[in-house]
Amino acid sequence: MIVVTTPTGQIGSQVLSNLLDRVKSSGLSSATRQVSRPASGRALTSSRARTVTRPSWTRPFLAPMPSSG
Amino acid sequence: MDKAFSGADAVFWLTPPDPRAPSVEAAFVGFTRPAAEAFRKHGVGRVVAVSALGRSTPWASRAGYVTGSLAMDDLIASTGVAYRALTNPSFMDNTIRQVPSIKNQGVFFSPIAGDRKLPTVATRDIAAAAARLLLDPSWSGVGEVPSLGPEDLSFNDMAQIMSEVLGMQVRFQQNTFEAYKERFVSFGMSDAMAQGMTDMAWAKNEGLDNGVARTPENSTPTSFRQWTEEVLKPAVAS
Repeated sequence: MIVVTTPTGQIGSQVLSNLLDRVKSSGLSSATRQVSRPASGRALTSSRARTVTRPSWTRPFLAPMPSSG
Repeated sequence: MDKAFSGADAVFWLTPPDPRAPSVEAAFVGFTRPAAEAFRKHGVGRVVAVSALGRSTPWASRAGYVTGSLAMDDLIASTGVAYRALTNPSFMDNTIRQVPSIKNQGVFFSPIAGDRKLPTVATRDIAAAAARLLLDPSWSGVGEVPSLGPEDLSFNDMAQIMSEVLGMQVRFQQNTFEAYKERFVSFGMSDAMAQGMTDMAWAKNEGLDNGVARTPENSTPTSFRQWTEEVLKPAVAS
């Protein structure tokens, strides 16, 4: 399972999209995937029996902090 | 948080902004501490986090948010988890905040000198690096993964590129560090966090982001020109 924090944020949302694209392009069948549907977010799937999901506790994301200067 | 990380093989960690935090340390280290404890408790395999350039430079301990981010890296690394800090310069995407002044006055601002060449990275490239690491179970230990964009640019260089792509004259104007901090305070940011932003900008102006030698491996693909065409131009036009 892969957990992505700040999944609706500027970077977190793009990380999720990248993970989905890479899983899709792997060509593995859906039968090998596990799906998780957390109450707070859309379900994401991953190959190799891993689940990509997002925790419900994450706070709303405004902008990345470390390099925002 | 304890529940979220139970059973996790890998975690993407990004400290969300807390503009009213009492200190930079509280915003970065304090917020991350419960996660670090959960990484240890649940035996999380790998953690990838958004961090910043600057470690081992003379300004690392006086760089505001960057200092906080590096302390966050140290905290996560201390748990024993396999860790990669995505160490970034300023984001191209932060220019979006200045769309109103670019659109209406043809000017954008920073306290950093206009001729100071710095790396700058698109957030899409940071996300791509994160996804690659999250899906790769082969790495271990602790390390940094810099993403420097394809070239170093000054704000004057960026103004020229914006002018060409947007089809309008755009210029850069350097403002003072005092004005820079006051603007954040006027938005409701705590004094400590506004000072943290200002200290970070000061350190970048001194050379904080120029400490990592550029290589093919740490040069990321999205150019500022491409980003301006694909992201900034539609934002200015809207």
